[in-house]
Amino acid sequence: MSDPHHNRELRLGQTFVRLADSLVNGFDVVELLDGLVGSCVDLLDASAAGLMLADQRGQLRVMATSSEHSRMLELFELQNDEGPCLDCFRTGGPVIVLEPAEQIERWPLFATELRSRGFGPSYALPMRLREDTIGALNLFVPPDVVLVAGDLEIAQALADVATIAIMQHRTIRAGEQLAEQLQTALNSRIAIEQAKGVISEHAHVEMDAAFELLRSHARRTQTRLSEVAASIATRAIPPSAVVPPSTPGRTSSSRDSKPAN
Amino acid sequence: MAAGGGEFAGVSDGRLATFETVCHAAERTLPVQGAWVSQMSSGGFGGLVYASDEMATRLDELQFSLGEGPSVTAFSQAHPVLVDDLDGRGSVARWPMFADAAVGAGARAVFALPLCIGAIGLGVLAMYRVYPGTLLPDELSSALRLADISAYALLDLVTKDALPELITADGKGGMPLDRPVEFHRAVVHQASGVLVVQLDVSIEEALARLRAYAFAEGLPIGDVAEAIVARSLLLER
Repeated sequence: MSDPHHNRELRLGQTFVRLADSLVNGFDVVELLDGLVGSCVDLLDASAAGLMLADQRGQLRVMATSSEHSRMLELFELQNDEGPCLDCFRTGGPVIVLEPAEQIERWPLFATELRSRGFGPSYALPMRLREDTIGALNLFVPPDVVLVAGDLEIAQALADVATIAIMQHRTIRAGEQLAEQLQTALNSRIAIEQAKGVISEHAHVEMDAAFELLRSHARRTQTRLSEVAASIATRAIPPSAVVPPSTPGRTSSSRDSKPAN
Repeated sequence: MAAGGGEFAGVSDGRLATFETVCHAAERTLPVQGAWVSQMSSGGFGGLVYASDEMATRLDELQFSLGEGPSVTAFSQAHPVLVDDLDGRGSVARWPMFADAAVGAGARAVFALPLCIGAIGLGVLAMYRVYPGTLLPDELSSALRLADISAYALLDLVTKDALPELITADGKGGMPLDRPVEFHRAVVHQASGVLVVQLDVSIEEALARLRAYAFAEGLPIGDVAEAIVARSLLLER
């Protein structure tokens, strides 16, 4: 279809159908969140997106980013000290800072890093269900772009559905369910990093390309991402299993940030 | 005080010091009466590493002999299992033999936290209390931090044959844990994965080698990990 609005509505519909499906049929939290940040970049004017969850130890941890490039991960890890995700998590409300001067005043280190990666305004939206905030969704745009209210509403709605998915059984078994979901997700994320390292060294590719190989294999074999990651890390399956024979060496991948123009 | 049993019975006190500290910290700071650490692997129970008292030892033995219980579930599912009432219907349905025996022994709640680092499964830190009730968010937070410390101490213990010189490096029983935030950095775990291939070792040993190198050189583990991922540092095979 040539009508871009129609196209977006269609994709938006598909995204919510996929999220609803995971609510009904069970899901891998990391995969759900990976899909969520991917949708934010696909559907909105955001050039990059990332999501941090509280680790129940007083820290925020990166769970998914639209680019698995190491420099993107660092931009999120930094936010344990300062940044929009941290403020958003602490207040439970959206944190939107458009002006560079204000960004620098609030988060000197983070704002500098944000600039150096070619981003401008930053948006952080809470993952919150009633009084509980479990994390934050961060959206980045190029310096001359501002997200319209409709985009932010969509992003918040996506974050809300993901939050409900993670906390869905909370009323039944109180705190245990949340701890199960969060700790499982945090640990899966570590296994994914371990597997990325294995694949990266085996196939001589960067970490973001290693993640793509891991994800493609999970999709192709209809296996959960976290299961594939654990099998690779423990060498239960050889890294060659996820690398197509023709993969060129030392490449950087594909679903990366849109160029900041 | 009950000491460690199983295959760790002969391990010098220094190597168990961390577990002793963790279990007693749990007992002092959390609403629990005792704690214990069991080593486990995909093959099953590896043995009791440390137990703070007789009841803790008994609860470990019960799970070992029955093959079921909160620690077994926590390890196989790799997530915390917080049982606020062992006498409740849910617990009895989940672990019919263990729940009955544990309540008979005087325990009413058990909190089992898996000691795992991504794909590395090491064991379980468990705590019991003699009355029902769950952990509050702050208490869970402390318990998880104690589990993190135990996980790295257990990593040292299970890789001790591969790295004999390192465990005694501080003369007491293990390497100190860096700021926890360092261990949660993605690059540390990416570097472990790189080392699996470079050194042809298990993921456990890869992380232990990374940690040992950082400790020996007096560098933050994150800096060493960055150098490994950038391929500017090669560890000897």
